[in-house]
Amino acid sequence: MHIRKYPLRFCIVFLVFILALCFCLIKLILIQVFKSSYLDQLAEKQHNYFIKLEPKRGAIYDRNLHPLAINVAAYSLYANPKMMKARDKEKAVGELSVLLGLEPDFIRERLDKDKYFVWLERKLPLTSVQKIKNLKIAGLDFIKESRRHYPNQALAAQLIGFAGMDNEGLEGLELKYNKYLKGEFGWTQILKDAKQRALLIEKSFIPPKDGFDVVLTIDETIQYIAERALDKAFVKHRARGAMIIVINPKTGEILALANRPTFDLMSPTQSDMDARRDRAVADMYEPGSVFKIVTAAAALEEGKVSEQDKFFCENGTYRVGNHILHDHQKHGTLTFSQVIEQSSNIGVTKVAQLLGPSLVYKYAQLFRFGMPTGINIPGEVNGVLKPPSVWSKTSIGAIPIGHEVTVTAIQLGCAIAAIANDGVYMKPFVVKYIKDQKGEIIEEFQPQTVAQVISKNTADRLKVILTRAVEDGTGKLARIKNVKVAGKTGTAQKVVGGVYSHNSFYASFIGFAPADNPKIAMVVIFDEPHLTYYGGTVSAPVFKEVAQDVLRYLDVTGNDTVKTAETGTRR
Amino acid sequence: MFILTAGALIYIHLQFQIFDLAYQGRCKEVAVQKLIDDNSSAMYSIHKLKSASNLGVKLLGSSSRMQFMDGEHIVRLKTPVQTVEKIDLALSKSTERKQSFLASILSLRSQAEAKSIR
Repeated sequence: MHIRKYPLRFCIVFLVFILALCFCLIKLILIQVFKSSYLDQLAEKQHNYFIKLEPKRGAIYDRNLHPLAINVAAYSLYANPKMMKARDKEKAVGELSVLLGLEPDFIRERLDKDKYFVWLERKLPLTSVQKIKNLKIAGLDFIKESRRHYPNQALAAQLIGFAGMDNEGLEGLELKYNKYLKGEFGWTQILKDAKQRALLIEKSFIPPKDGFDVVLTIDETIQYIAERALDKAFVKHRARGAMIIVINPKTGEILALANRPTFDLMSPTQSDMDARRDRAVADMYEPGSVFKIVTAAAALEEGKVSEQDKFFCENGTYRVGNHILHDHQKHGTLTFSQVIEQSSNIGVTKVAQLLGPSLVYKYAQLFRFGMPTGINIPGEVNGVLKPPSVWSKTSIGAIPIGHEVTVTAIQLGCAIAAIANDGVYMKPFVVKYIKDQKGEIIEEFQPQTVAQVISKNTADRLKVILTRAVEDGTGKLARIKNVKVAGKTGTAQKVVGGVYSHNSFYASFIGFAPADNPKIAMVVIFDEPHLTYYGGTVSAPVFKEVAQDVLRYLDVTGNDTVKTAETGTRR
Repeated sequence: MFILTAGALIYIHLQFQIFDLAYQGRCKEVAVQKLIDDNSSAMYSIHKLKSASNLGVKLLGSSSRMQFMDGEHIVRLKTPVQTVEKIDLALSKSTERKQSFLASILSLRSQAEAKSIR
């Protein structure tokens, strides 16, 4: 036998094989025992993939559950420059600059980076995504995200606000209720194959918590009616700014709130700060004659005057301290009711002198001037109401007629709504409730009574006076056929450079309808209107147009008061 | 030994099946996701078309003849209670007819009549 003939060779070969086997065994032990955790981790990294699951941002609805802000799927385009060849890059530059409207140099600069990942464009619409996919350019891919969309575009823009690229609220209610809307991210761990393709095998899964939906008190139709009328007058009078608020006086619900200028919610970055400011709560101004409702309410409530008491209006000129007060029309003797109807500054000043500074201040505070209304909109300012201790000798001739005091539109709206609501001041609110995706209510905001500012009797008497102010007084252009309207006009000079201007005015109208059973209260304000600048000629017609259409709408929907759509169950 | 080998082979086969299904599932997931995306895009288009802004521009623009109706233009009809009862009685009588067995076999049935729902 060969083995017996060559025993040494056999031993050497055998030894070599044994050594090789031992080597393999040792290597195996090293890999399986000592390096196992390291290699395990390496494999985990290569084949496991953590994905952050974006929650669905909650929607914003009007009171009838019509969507005002929703999320729609969008895809963001990125490139992997390190994996792209030169011809792919050139093709991408040429095609994408046309499809996306981007500068070729911008795309080229991005693709020349020495990186594995660069954004090219965020949140593209689906139509663009398909066109780019059809190009089949290597190194380009998409990440699915979602983008905020606003079906009504510019409607209630300042109120709703907008969310940024990462679905975080940046302004308006999107910002204020961001913690409810945004939801919580989830996580999942999935497997990838050798070609880095994800497989539908989830190793662990924490589902995202979708955001809650916010339902507003706003009625989309009433909002549209208000904005349409505001737009027409804003353009016609070439005003610098305008505001309108429609309130349900019985509950304090804001049915519409609009400002001009405005902006498109779908492209907020193309607007300036002026257009994005919610003037209705953030701008304060000297209200002028509309503030006379405070003096009138105080005089009636305190029993200092009755409607038929006569006041001599000095034929249009009256000295108060070292200041000469004028009426826009010369009046002789007027009754108290006529003083308000005809908006006599001198008449109201004499009433205020009867009351005294303390009472005027007290009732201004009762009507919540000089303090926030507490409406759940960001950016509300207090306005300025001086206490009597710092009034000058001329203040008694200024504050009661709406000068030396600054107010916001929402404060005026709530004040006139209080008169409409039998003297009960309701806290204004714009968010009705917050619900989850199943319709269960998470948080609800109920109407809140703040105070009985004036008695029902005084409110009723004021309603009669303010009705006459529209029928026979300065608010004739607010009259509506077959509907009694109560209201007050105001025309106030603006302070420009520390002095009252003769060219710049605020034109206001505050009112409610129907006067005997108010369904809506409204405030309309124009900043620097042209052609004409009186509240009775600029703002009153807007009130009429809006109130007319809103009352028809409410009658057509069969509501005596505005109702909310049926909701889900409460948690 | 044979059983162990067979068992191992079956296990490997099943593992391959899992991955195969995972690939198929992934393709289906992509298709479903596309449908969901298209749906949300379509829903947005619908919401935009029926939004107050869009309808208002189309229906209530300055050049449009449409406007909100006055109360005077709405006619409300009130039916007397007696007339409603007579109608109900008439309908209920007509539905109580019996059909003959022969007629039903030969499909010679009487015409279906709507019943009033109380």
